[in-house]
Amino acid sequence: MLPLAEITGSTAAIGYGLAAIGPGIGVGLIFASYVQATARQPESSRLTQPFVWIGFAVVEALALLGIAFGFIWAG
Amino acid sequence: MSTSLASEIPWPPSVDDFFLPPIVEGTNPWFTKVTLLVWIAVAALIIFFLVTYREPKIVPTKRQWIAESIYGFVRNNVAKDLIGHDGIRFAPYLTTLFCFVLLTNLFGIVPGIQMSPNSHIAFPAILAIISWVLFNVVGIRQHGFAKYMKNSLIPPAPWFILPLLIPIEFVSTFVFRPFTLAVRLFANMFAGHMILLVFTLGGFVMLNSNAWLAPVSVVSWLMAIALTFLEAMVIVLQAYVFTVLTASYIQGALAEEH
Amino acid sequence: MVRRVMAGDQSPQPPAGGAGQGWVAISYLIAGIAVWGFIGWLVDQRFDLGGVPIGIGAVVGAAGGIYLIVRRLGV
Repeated sequence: MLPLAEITGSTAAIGYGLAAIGPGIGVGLIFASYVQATARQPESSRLTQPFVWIGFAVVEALALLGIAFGFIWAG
Repeated sequence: MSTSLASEIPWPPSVDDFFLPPIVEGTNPWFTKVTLLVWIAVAALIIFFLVTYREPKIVPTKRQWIAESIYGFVRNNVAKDLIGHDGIRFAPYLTTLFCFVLLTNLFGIVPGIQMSPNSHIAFPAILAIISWVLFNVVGIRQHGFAKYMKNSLIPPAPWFILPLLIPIEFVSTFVFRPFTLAVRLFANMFAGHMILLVFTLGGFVMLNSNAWLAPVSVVSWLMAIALTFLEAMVIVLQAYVFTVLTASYIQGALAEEH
Repeated sequence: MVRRVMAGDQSPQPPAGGAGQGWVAISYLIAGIAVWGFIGWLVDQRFDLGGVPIGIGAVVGAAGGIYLIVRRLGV
């Protein structure tokens, strides 16, 4: 039976595009919250900055894995 | 599309535009405009600093003041701030690095020259390799080879995870740093030149096409002027960033106690 | 008992300013994924397992990168 609908081209690219939505929002939230917290209480910026990088690392790891798997599992 | 491209305009600009022909046709292919520019940059720096410091006076002359300001800027704001008092001995190299990168970058927007040697990967690569060798030799000389390797490769972690982390640390410190130093400078100069080519040549292409697009070429040239100013800012920034990162790596190599 | 304090005793401070730490963070992540993805690819080539070790290596490398960031830049 003939296929009803067909997408040609790279589904890896579509997959990466979908995978980048989450980390994009996540990183934005992290830095937005850091900026807001520093705006409310500037003295706390030194205390909260390490958490910015911890959070950024975890979220960005998923985005980078998205890029890597896009190449590894292409085609 | 009813536009017709004039045949003598090299459109669209591509990587081939960066490979220049030798200055004298038929001679050595390596003696291009880029080679000449690097020699001119080296000669200009040597002559400038020699001439302005020929007879230094306590109350500086104008030329001496300019040279002292350049050296003082790098020495105080980069070497002393980032490396500490120990860093003054690196100030001559960092000043030379900053001035050389700035001058070769500036050739990219000087009218008539408009080609930066740093848009060929070779020159940023060599500068990055020199900085890499420098910060490693400094660290090894300060701490001894075994201790330097131990300090820079072994993160504070329980012993059973170390085999996982040591390759990551190695690549991040010894491979990633020189690579990003070179690629950052190269990519900025390459992209800047490409953008200027697109807008300038695009203006000529639009001028030579149909009558509707000819006025738009003025907009294209105005964009080229605006982007030249942006490129000037990028040039100074990239020279500064290269120098600051080299100084930061030297500081990291000198003070490696965990 | 007097302890000699030497200039070399300062621990390597993380690069001053947020941008420097950002570069360190992203470099650990990319280096982790690249190194362990490559090792996974070598294992895959040797034992011909069909691409699975590359994925495992990439995830392990991402985890290692996150751990390093938490240790170096975290609290």
